[in-house]
Amino acid sequence: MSGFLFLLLVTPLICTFLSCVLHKSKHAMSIIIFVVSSFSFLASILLIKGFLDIGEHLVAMNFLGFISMQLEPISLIFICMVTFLWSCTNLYSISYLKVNHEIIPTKFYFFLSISIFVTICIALAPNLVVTFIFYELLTIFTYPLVAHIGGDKECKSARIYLYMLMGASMLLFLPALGFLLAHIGHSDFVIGGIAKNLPVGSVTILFLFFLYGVAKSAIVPMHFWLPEAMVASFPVSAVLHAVAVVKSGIFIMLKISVYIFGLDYLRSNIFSFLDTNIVSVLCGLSLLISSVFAIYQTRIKLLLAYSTISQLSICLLAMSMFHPLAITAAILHMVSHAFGKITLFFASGYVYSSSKISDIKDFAGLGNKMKLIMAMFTMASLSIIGLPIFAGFISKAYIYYSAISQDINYFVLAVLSISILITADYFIKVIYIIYEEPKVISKKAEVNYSYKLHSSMTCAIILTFLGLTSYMFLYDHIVDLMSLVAY
Amino acid sequence: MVKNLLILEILLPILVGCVNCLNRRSGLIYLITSLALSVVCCFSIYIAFYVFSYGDIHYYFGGWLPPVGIAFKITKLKSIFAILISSIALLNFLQGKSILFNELSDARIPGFCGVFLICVAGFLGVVSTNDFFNLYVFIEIASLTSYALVSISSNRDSFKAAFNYLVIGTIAATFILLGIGYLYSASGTLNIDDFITKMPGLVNSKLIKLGYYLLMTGLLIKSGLFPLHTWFVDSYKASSSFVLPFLGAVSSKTYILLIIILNYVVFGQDYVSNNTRINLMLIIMGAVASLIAAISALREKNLRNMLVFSSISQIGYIFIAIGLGNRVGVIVAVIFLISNIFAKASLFILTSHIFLLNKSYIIEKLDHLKERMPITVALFMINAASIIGIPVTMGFLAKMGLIVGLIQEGRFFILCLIVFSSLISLLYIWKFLEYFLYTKKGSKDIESPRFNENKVSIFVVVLLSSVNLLCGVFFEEFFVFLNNMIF
Amino acid sequence: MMNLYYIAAFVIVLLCGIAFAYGSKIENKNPTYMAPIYLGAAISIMLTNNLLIIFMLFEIMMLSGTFMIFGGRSNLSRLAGITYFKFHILSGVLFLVGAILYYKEYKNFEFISVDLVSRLHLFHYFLLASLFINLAMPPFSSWLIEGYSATTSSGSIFLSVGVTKVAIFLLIKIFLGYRYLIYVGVFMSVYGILYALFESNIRRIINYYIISQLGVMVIATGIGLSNIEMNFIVISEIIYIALLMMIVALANSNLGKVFKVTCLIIFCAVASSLPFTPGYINKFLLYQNHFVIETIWLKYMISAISLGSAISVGIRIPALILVQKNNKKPNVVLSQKISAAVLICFTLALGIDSESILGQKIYLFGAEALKQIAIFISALLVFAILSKPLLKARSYYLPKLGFDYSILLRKIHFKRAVNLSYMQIATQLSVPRFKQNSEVIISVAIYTLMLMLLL
Repeated sequence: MSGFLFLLLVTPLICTFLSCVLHKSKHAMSIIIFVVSSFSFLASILLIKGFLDIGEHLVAMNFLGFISMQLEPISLIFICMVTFLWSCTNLYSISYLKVNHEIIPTKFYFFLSISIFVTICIALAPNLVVTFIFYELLTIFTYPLVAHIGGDKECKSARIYLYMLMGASMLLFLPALGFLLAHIGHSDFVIGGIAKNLPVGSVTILFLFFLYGVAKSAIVPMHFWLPEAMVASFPVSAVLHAVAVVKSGIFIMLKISVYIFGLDYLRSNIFSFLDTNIVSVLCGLSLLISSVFAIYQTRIKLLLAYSTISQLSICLLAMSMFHPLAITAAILHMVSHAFGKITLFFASGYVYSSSKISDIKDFAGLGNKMKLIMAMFTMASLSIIGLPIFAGFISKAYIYYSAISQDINYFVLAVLSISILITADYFIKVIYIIYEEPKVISKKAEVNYSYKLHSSMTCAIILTFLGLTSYMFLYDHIVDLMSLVAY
Repeated sequence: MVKNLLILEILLPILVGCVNCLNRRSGLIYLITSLALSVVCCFSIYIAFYVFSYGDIHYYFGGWLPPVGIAFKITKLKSIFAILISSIALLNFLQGKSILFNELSDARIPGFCGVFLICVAGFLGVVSTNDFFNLYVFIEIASLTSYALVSISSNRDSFKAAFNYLVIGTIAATFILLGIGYLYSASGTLNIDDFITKMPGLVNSKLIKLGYYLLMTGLLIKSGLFPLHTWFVDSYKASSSFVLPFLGAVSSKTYILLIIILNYVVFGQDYVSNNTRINLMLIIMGAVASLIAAISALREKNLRNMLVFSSISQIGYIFIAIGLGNRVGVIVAVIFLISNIFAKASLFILTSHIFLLNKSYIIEKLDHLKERMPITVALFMINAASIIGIPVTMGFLAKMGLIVGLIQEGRFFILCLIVFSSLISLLYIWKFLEYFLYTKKGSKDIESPRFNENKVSIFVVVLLSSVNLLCGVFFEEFFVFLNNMIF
Repeated sequence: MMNLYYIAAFVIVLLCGIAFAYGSKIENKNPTYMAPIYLGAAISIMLTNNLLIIFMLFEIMMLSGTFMIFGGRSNLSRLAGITYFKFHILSGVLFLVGAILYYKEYKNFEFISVDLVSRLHLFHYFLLASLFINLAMPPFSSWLIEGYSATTSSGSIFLSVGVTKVAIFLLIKIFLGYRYLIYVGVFMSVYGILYALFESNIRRIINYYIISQLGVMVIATGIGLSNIEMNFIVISEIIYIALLMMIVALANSNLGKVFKVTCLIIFCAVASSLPFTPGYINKFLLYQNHFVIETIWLKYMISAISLGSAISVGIRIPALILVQKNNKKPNVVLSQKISAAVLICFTLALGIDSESILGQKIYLFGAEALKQIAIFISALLVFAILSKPLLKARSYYLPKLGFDYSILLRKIHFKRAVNLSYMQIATQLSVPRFKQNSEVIISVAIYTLMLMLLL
């Protein structure tokens, strides 16, 4: 088992090393890095199997004798998702980098692999201080990917990205962590939480400090960095800002609720407001505001960014119900959204690589030219809306189910229903535009959209889409694994 | 034998310094000075090993025992600082050869080296001594030589700044002398150890209080706390770039160490917290210092001036830590001191080399420095991270400890202030880094040739940064070490 | 047994519709591909009792319906399809919430009829709201009017027998006998007739007619006719509304004189509920019911609705078709004739020999028959008097009751207002698509597969 852990940690570092060493032959570098990264996915699956064999709720491991790590179901699911989607992104980048020459492969792979390494370390951290350390490092290592091209616009957006994330963590996360350390003395992740010794009445404020301090989970006042981060290239936006960075924010919030505060403690002590707790209300507000913003976007990347923010708020809304089913629902939604969103980003990136289109209006008629890719785009967006045949329905239905399981949480039901309506609103617009006939035949219509040109991109899209469709099976496994969590 | 090393490490630089002034050949003088400094460094390292293994060392001048004679005493904390002072002096001297020979004419170099050696001796003496009046003597030696060092510069403002420094420094020294006088008249002894034993009986004495306040005022002026910092800014702005790493890193930090020893060992926190209100004052002034200095740094377009303001801001943090009044405060203050010594020394060294090669400190001229001096920029980033407080550096440990300490004392308003000022520190450092890393639109597309970075200085800075990073990564061992070290 | 009749009705409509679309040379075939999925899902809803599965099938119907509207490729498709989608997402979400609340209460998704004399539970309200939207109750009816006008004419045949009929079926299953439905039904019928008077696009008129007939069915549910009677009403509505839509679709083609006259007479008879048509049987069942006999205003209301629908739809549409100027139109194809003929046969069969299904005696020549004929003759008179204004092509239209989503949509989605021209009489003819007809067979295969899965 520690062997698998070692393999898991070492693979991104090997990819980093390879990206420096192989800078002469860029194409070979991409392919080798893809192959190496798929080993990390293998390692995470074997790690899960080993964890299931042990059967404990929480496993502490000592890596190299002095670095201690902690494995538990939530982090294992997160690691599995991140490594799989990272491998898919590497597959995708093989063609993407070949076509888009403004991206420098060495720098790209270097920082991407290091960011994934830091993400895995966030998942394995045994206490909140170590998590905070790697959280900050993640911001730093993803910055060069956002400001990759180095033009004025990218620099400005990347600056806002950096300021917002580091500012939120310095102003809110660090003081909250300090408060925890000052009153309890340590910040280890323990079953049942360690917050029982906190002064009464400070729980709500502390939790809110954490909620807004972990700005990577993109709650509405702290969400501005995500649209700004969209100046990055498509693979970066796909894996980092739909999967690794934002999901690590959600992951940290989940761990804080379950292992630092403890669900029972939170349920009984958090400030209640409007027949539900204040955290639900804030998450619901964030959900509605970001969904409404998404309707007005005309560029596909910004639309997907705001849609990501609203789906993340759904995860947080599910978490804010603070009972075991709700946590499982949040994780299910995290995974299903990751698959759907990454498919959407990949498909848009495909369009962009072929013809540099990034505005939704120009997508007209693409449904007939790139049938396969656009069919997967449509189905992924239907999944994110939450229509029954697709993955998003399973996760949203589970959230509904968890909302009624103890006392009926009408607020969550109402907000979730409204969000489905608004999500449907902006996605159906895109779907229609894809399938309608273009009014003006422009030069862009003569672009070659053949699959062979960007074969690896197609393969990657098919792979993530398969993940989406096989969500039924994934769902069983995730629920099984989550039943091992002790609250 | 070891005791003799104590006095030798003071005497040697003084003697060599005096001899230097007689000679004319600058190359030889440079060599001799470097040799002397390395010998002093070796002495201090040996003394530290001895202290950590066997306990404190006492040396009595001429065999006269206290309370009659003058004594030297080295504790663990002081020995570490002695190493720091001598090593920074040595490293600075080694790497600055090109700068020194560039800035000063050949004729003045011997004198300069002599003055430098005597300054080092002065600071070492401040750290080693156990007698009040001896303390004053060494403070004077250090101050006089530092006035001289500031004035020896090719900058136009250096005379005026040095004169300013002279006046204010003399006033401060006068305060110190007066304070010592009152303490002597109240307690009857000049020996610090003896004074400590006499303190409990003198708790209610008004003379002691007055002496204490006068002493503190003098030392505060010399450290550069907020309202008393104007000389600091001017003199460091005007000094030569050879002197700045040494003086800027070492001088005010030594006085701060004195204040720590005064507050926690000599007078003891019982006296200080119960009878004086200095703690509150230090906290408030420290917070204000950090905030206002940070805002001033934000407006600077000159790299060196920005770093000077950032020094003042960091000194503010140290005083907040001192003002906390408990063990956490001391530990945090010491971490801040050490990390600042390393980081600021490295930053000033890098800045001086940037100036040497680019002939300017102004931000617009330093555009796209990454092309010309990549290693410098990388090292700049690491040390700047220590100033801002990004994890895996010592600066993060210090900031975190400060926040925990403030929360434990319940001073939430001050917490807000320092958190804001650390955010501002991110802003002002990042402004420069962004120029270094990316080209701006307005600059002409000049060909940026790769400069030949000075190997020695790079090696020195790498050494300092790696100590910083190592302590940041292995923070548990570092904390154990510190705990052991502090009284 | 009833299930079999339902399946038969849907299958007949599906096959006739496909044959109809197959023959048409000028229309988009896209809606036809979605039709088997759409109607297959409708059939499956009727066969299952599990609320969650019904929800999923609703969503599938919604998706396929949206793509049918988008596939129509008319100028209206964009707006209409999005409106359709949004309203149905709303109804789907409400249904899901209702299903979940039902699950909370009864720990099971299988629906058992609950006695409605007792208080309505919370989930009832949600299910009712969802069904109202699916039934196109007037504040929420814009999806039906816009949507059914935006597909191709053959596509509208499929759409008309889908969601609305399923919604009525579920209404019968869950809310049979709920008195307040009567008022809702009356409101819907009156709304449909009134608005139909002011329209001059025959496709929109027939859509309003659908709404008013749904209103009649809702009245019947509210009154509480027996299960068999209600099922008969729904089955007959499926067949004869499909027929009416087909005849309206035929208005696009050049019909021979005999065929034209036959079709228009049948249209008139069916829409005005004359004897020998299923509509008459429905009215007969209504008049016979105790409750209606006791509640006098309801009796007269039903008669008024018959009168109104005769005027605005039964007589008006044939008149409009006759009066219409002769544009260049393609000739009618044999398959279209055959499918029309088949539907006419089935309609008349239902109208004449309904006793075998209902099991009770229907008096085809009794007092009610005379009443209907009288209503019809008075409608003719009224129409003759008011023929001039009623036949004129209008240039305005009544504002829709309630929330007009399309304005909001226009502002949000499209900066330039889409020019909704209500004045064209036939469908917008778009670029001809000569797709392989084998794709139709594939869709039929998918439908049969779904059917087998759920049986």
